[in-house]
Amino acid sequence: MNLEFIELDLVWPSKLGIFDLKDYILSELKKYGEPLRWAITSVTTHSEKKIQLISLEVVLIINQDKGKGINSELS
Amino acid sequence: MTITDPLPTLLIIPTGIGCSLGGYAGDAIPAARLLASASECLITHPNVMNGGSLYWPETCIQYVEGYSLNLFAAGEVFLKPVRQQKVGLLLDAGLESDLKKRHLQVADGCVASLGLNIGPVITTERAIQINLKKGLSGSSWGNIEEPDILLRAAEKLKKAGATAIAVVTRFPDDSDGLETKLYRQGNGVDAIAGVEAVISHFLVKHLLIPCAHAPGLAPLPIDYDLDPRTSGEEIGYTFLQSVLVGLSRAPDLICKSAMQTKEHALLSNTDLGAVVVPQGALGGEAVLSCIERYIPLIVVSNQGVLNVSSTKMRLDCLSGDTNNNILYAENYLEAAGLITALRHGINIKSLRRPIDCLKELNDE
Repeated sequence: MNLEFIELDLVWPSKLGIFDLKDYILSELKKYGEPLRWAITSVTTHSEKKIQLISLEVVLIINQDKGKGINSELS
Repeated sequence: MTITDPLPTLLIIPTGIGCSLGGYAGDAIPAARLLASASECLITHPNVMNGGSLYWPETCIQYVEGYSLNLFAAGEVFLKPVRQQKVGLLLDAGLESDLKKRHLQVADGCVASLGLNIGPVITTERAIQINLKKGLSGSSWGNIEEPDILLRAAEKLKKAGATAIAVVTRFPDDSDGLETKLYRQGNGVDAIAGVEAVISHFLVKHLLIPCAHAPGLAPLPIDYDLDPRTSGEEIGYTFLQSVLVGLSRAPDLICKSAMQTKEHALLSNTDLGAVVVPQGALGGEAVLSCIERYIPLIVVSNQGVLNVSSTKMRLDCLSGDTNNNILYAENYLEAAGLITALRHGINIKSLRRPIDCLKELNDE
């Protein structure tokens, strides 16, 4: 088992209300590992692309046998 | 329920984001005491209550670590107030013998002078090794190199009868660093707080008992420009005493899935009457859970490094009853007033000016 600190951005779909935001974030984070501690650390609007981006800082638990993690995802 | 019953209130001041109140050494304790007095039942976390050598035990404050706080806010865990926990002490093998002895003496002192129930004590098989990190936002974070070693020691403590765990790990010294200097002078983020939260989150996730962390650090040289908010960390050899006091009465964590029916004495998220959070720190897991459940949100001006505000989180766009659940306070004095009003059923609108006339319902 490893702990890994990552930073990532997610698009916040305009139709997704705040009441569904936590589940959306958790489902995205689980693609990389088991979320242990996370927070939204900024929300930025890109008017030219008409999107909002959520920046997250996260510590994930990575089970080595499952081979997840942001590094393995990128490599 | 009567109108004078307590109004269980959740106070969150996230760890490692440099809040001007609560970003230092237990400097949110006065605010917590005030809100506890207004609500008569305050649920808050170690970052609020741990002041290094300083602490304030209060029977109507429930000391709940951040991971369990998230579970509580989501309705996955109930809180069961206790008279006393048996606090196991987990020491990192990376602590030098003198530093380890200092911590053991603090634990002895807490038994002898405060009447706490502490033990057993265990030292990890090898050093767990802390890595400090800082996010792009300026928040402090980090991870540990040997989580399995940490967990193994904690499991042994639980098996040996500990009902809560205080962890002391050796942190890298940074007495000459700019971060430490700025923090001590009241202008920086606590560089070690983020990873402390990671350690306690990790243990609570696996053991589901109250856990909290104290960093093992060499004493710092005197700083003549010390900010009073950091003084609680300068008047002793360890930060363990506040952790032991907090854990000694931390509520038991009762998993929802293990319950048949809700016992009367348990606190659940449905009991919450308000959640108090700094403006700018609205992107945490517990806050989002509370918003989902329409728990009144009191947003307090309390500057930190984050700007995840009510506007950025689209809270200002909400309308109707939901928006009535979002209240704003300039400081914690005002937040205490709002809690008092909520608790006693006083319409907040009647306390503000101008005040609008009532509007008749339109059939259309």
